[in-house]
Amino acid sequence: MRNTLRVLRAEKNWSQADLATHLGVSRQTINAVETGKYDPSLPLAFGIARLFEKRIEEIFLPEVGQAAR
Amino acid sequence: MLYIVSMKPDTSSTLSCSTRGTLAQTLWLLGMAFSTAGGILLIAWLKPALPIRVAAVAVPLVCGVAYAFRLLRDLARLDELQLRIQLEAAATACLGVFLVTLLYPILQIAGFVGQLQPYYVVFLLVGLLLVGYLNANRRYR
Repeated sequence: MRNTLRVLRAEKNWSQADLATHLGVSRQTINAVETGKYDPSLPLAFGIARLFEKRIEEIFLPEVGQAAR
Repeated sequence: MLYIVSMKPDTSSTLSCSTRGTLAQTLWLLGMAFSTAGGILLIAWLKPALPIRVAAVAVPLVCGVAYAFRLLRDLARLDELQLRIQLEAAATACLGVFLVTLLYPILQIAGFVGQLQPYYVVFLLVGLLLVGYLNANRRYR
């Protein structure tokens, strides 16, 4: 899954550590989500969406071909 | 086995949650190891009376239980990625021990290995847990 987390974080001028603190997770988790190595759980995805005041599907996008599954 | 913990940052104190958790686990584990070794030596050499023998057994037991409680408490505080990493490490360790345990009888009959000792399993479990942890941690870095 792709995501726009890095862009949204940059818009707020937050570091990964800042975002991690806001969401109550480790910085490693934020990095893994941003780089696409880890797909967050639904509660974390909702938390991210709430924090950036966006809908989940505006932040997390399926890879090409993934949506058809 | 020593559990490697990496938890949410705790900015409220000079020692992070992670450091305190790992330190406490290590201390309880070392306490258990040393009190076990000490208890064995004490009982084997001095042949003490029953109350002393009971105490020699009770001290490592208490340390072991305290270690287990601390480990479980720290586990509950991990974030979701760390839980996944720990799960992958535990799966690696369980799978490795499972396979080796199944294969051991044929290896023994073929003369490649000696009699299975319980501590072989402990070393294997800890080693595989460490390998699994490092591997999963590297993958999600």
